[in-house]
Amino acid sequence: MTPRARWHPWAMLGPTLALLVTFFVLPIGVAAIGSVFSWDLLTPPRYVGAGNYRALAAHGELLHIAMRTLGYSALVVTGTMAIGLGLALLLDRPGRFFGFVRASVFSAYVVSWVAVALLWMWMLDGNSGVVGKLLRVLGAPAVSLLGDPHWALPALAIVGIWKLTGYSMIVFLAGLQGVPRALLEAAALDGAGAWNRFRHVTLPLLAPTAAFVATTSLVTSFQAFDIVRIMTQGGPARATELFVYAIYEQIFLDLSVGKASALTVAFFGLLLAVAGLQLRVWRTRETAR
Amino acid sequence: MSLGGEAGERALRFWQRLVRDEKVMRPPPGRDYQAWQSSNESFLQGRIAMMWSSTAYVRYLEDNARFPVVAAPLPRDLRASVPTGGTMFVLMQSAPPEEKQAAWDFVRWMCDAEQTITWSTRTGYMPVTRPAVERLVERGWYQHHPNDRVAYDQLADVEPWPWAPDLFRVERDIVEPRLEDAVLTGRDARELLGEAREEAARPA
Repeated sequence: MTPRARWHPWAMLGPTLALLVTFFVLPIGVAAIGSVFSWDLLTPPRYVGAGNYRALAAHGELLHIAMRTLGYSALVVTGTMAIGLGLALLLDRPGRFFGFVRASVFSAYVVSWVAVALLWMWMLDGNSGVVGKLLRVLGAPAVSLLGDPHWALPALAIVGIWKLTGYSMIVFLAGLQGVPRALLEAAALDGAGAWNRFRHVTLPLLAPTAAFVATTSLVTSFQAFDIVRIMTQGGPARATELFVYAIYEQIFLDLSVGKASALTVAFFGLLLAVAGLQLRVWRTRETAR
Repeated sequence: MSLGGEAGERALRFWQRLVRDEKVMRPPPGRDYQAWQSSNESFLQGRIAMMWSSTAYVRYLEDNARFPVVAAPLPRDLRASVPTGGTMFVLMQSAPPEEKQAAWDFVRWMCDAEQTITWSTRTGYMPVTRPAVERLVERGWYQHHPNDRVAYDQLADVEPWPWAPDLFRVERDIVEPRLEDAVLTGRDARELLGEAREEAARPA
């Protein structure tokens, strides 16, 4: 099919292109320009060249933020996938009871991040929280998980996992419907046990589903902001300062637009790298087939 | 910028000792208003005996505690030194004259003795004018509310803010995170303060 005029395809691409340029390309361009200035929103911007990037690189601040974000994402993605898959396998059964449990698990995903954050803050409270009381009963030392620099990030990851697992469970359940019973029966007739049926029949057939869940939960975990803003404000000792929150903090709390812009550009680079890596893994898989 | 030099280091070490070694001081979770609020809650629940807080909470704490609340001046070592805090009314130099006039009228109204007495006695915030304090003394207010007097008396030891265009950046981005680091992760006080001094000297 060839277009009758050269501008026809452009006209059809136009609306999408306009949206992309307005909301993605332009803002990144603005951030890139802003990143070479020092601006506090009040006095006129001053050109500083790579000064903002240098300030971020000094003492490893940028590296720490990136590692924290990647660490949080790794915990959330593996946690949601493992627990979601486990629950899907466990609950892929007929009956009202299982339906009720499935709905209960999924309900966490429907609740807003703000409500989830407030609920968990209450549960994780060092003095009167349920989690702290439970730990004390079990004989663990009384720590305020959100107030401890070593525990705060894993605690936030647990909240993220709790919230997102329902979603991954539902997607895995949908994926399980696509696994033909006949294949499982054939494997059973060949003498494959439950583990081997899962390992060599179910799991390979679930690979596309798993890739989808991994991608969506990776995207969601990279966007984490609400729980940081509400539960820890990036503390204690910057232990939970994830990328999006760090950008917010630089602009709206520290009034440093230049550094925030530099962080945005760096974040863009990190996302590009992660997306590139993912694409590569997919492509090599496709060619391997 | 000295950050207190030797004395500053000693003060930070003392703080680290209270939190990390003797475990008699607990840094609240969260930052900014959440930290203030959780300290208030712990205090009102009787889980902590002392806390460092703002005059803004004096009345709130007195009204909500099931025990008598007593305010005391900040502890000292070599010499007492107290910061002032809070939010300011600001008149923009670049604002049109009528806006400046209106802002000025508003500030005058806020600082009027009776007006000052109203907001200060209802919250615990420190009264900001001498006439207001004189009237409060005349009326015997401080005999019944000795806690309100503490911040005012500490004005004798106050250090003025080192106002500079960079002040906010230095405070938020350079000094505060390092104080937090010292207290929570136990990094060396001298090293951290030195790092902060070096960072602050670097142009933004």
